[in-house]
Amino acid sequence: MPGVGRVLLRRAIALGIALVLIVSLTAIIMEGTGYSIKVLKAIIDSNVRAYYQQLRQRPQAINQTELERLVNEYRSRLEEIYGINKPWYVRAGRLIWTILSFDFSYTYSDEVAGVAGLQAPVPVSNVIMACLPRTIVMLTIAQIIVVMIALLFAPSIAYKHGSLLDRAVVTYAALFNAIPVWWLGMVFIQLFSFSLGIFPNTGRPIIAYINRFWQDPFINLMKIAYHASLPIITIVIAFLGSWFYSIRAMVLRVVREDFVMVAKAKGLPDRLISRRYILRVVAPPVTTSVILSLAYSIGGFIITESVFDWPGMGSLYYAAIVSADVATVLALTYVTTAVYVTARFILEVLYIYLDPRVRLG
Amino acid sequence: MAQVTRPYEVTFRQKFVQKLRELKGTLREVWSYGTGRAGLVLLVILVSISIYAALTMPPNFVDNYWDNIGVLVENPDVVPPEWTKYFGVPYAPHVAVVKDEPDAAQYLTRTYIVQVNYTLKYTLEHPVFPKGILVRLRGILIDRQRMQGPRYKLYLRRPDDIMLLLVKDAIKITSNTSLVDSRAYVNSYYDILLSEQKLNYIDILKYLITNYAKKEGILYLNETSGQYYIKLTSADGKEFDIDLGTAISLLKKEVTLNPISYIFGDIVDMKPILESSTEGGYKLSGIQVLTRPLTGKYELTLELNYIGIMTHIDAKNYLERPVLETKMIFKGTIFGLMGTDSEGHDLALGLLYGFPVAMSIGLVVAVITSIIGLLVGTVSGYYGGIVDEVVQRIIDVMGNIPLLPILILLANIVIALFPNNPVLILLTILLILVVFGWGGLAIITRSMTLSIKEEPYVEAAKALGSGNRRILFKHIIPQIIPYIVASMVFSVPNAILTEAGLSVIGIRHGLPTWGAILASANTPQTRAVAMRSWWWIIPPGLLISITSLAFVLLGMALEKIVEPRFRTA
Repeated sequence: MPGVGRVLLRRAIALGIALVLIVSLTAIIMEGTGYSIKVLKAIIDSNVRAYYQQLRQRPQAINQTELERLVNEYRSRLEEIYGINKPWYVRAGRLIWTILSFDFSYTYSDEVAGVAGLQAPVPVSNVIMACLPRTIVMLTIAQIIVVMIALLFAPSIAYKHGSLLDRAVVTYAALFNAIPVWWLGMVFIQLFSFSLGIFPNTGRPIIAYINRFWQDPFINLMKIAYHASLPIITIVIAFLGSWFYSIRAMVLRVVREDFVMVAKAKGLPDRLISRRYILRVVAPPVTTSVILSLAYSIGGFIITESVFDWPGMGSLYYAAIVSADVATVLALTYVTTAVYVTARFILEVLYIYLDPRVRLG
Repeated sequence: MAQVTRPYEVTFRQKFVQKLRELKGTLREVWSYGTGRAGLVLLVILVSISIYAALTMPPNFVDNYWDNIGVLVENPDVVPPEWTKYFGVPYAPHVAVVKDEPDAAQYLTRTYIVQVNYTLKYTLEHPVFPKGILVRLRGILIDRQRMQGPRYKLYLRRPDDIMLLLVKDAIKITSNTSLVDSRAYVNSYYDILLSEQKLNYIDILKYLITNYAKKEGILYLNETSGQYYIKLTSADGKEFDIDLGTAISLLKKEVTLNPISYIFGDIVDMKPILESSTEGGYKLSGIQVLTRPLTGKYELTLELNYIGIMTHIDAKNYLERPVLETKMIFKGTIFGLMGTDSEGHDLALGLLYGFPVAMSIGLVVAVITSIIGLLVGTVSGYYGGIVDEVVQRIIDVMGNIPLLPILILLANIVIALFPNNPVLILLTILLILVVFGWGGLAIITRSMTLSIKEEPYVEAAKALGSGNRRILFKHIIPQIIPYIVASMVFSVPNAILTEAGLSVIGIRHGLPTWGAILASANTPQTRAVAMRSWWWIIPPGLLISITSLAFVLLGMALEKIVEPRFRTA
């Protein structure tokens, strides 16, 4: 199959270019608009002020002009270090280069480090590694649960097209397609956390449980599960509808195809038809949705995490954006996009096995 | 000339009639599905409310009403809607009255004082403390010769027939006070609040404490000092005697911080907080007081006194209309149609004026995205080659972009660059939603174009010499349009939900939106309060959901029409 190799290589290159472009675009947006400078200027100002105080408290007095000279020298040295005196495209170029070579540098923002439960300045990779597991235990697990339920029940519902159950599922899907998951979260927090007191109203404590997980794995696991349960329940309820609906739609398209009709006319048993004739055709698009949604969940859901006060990737992303922390924003964009792009590539490879048309045609 | 244009006009009219008939047919088909019917009904309701709201929205609504501090102070904070009272929830009513004339006025010739009274009656049926008292005076007439305003006293007559003096002060006029016309009215609101500095806590406490002590029989007069004492018993049974003056000074902070629960109530329990002192005895560190609301009829009286008015002619002015507008407000524990949030916003207004914003955001973004997706997809599919390659790569980049973070980043940048331009911020958000929204649709239309391109009738059209543009617009796009309309309707909720989501995490454009109301419920400061206030969380989200639902239902019906395989057999 020489053609397949070439196709894969082309896709890999295209996806790689997309990744580089997305990171570059983000860097250019942040630097080109001058949004990132405001943080760096604040850092430099506070450093310069500290230096000035330090000079003034020296035992041997320095005269005013000397003092000013030293302070200015210090300021321009800092500006040199942070690259603030360079034009924006130089800064953006340098940023893109360092990020792409996996050099994630440091975050100086207290808010960003605070989401991770760390003290600034701290390496961005540490911050991300602290937040990633929190997002996985909540969002990715919720997605896995949704996918499993949907895959178990959706096809059989689609076969009973038009039945009462089918209609109920469609109504459910319509309803929860319209209800935003973060609002459902707010309502559930109001109901189950504040009114009934069943679930905790914040996800913050999991920082501690995950950090010292191995001291007492079982207890910590239970506590993490307790804190993650309300968000997971919310996400499962909110997402299940659209998953049911889309899998049902994919199955329905195939069920009405001529070759399925022929198989039925031939008198083949239903299970055989569903396994050989329907699921094989449905497999590629369903696999696409499953893998992409899992990859997507790694990046965190900014709004949902903010509602549940969950210190995951979404909250980290948001803190980084609001405090204009270029290093963290770019690192997160790079990581999440890289995961997503990789998932896409894995899909291309999987398609070769799942879809003979790709393999042979 | 007329003869030349006429046939053209007729064909145009015919075309129009035909299109209208087609539209009618489609609508009838949509109506034939349950989802379609529900969607259409919802849509009609939503559109009517939006039009009503758009037409009645006062100019500069946000600055003049929604976020106007002057309006906000008159509303109670975090209270449920008025109609909750019909569900048996105990409440204190909200009463606000504007008066332009005094209820009583007299010229006291002996003391040369003009005395004017404004009164407001209030009935508390349930044992619930109101949220507050506020008297606002706009346009106070002042004595121009001496440049002085009146002195005022605010009284509250309680159901137990006691007249409590709440506040006593004088309205000061400085050289910067701006005046209205020659009659010398003060040109701004003067608010009489039960503030910490001005509250007459001594009289209030003296009455309440002696009242309580008399009822309990623990009040006695110390003959030697000539002072009244009360005998208090702590929770663990220790007795402690305390003189009235000390009790008042110990409770000062409590009363000035929370005056309402004293002036509208009776003390039902007083317990000393004792600390064991170093000498072995006990030391009083404070008093714990429990008050209970007093139901019955109240009367709030504002008394204005103009001093040194020597003649009847002078007095006439003051007697007639000393204040242009006097607002007297008992803040209740229920308010308006939809309640209020922690800043006192009348949520009914925010919810009403959120309709046109949500609808227009949804529709504008959906329509523009669909058109771009349609054009780019068909062009890229039809022409192929380098155009197709470029479009494919752009879609690739957009498809892999972490969309929401980039949206938030761009919106933050716009807000940082143009902080005080709500329309520009909103337009940018719309633009971003459009720019990143057409990719998925373009992929679909492209693949449809690819298959339609191979149809024999396209070949035939080409053979007959049709140009590319004619083939695109005559033979390909009309085939795709039904799908585009279905997916356009489906994409409306997407835009509405995304915009609401952006509002929730704090991206404001300055127009009242449902998302913004939810956003104010999700800040670290308000979260704990808001999450106990259903009227703050449920209605805005419900409206977002209903609006989205209307389009989801319509989309489902349209989907069945364009995709017959979805129809039930």
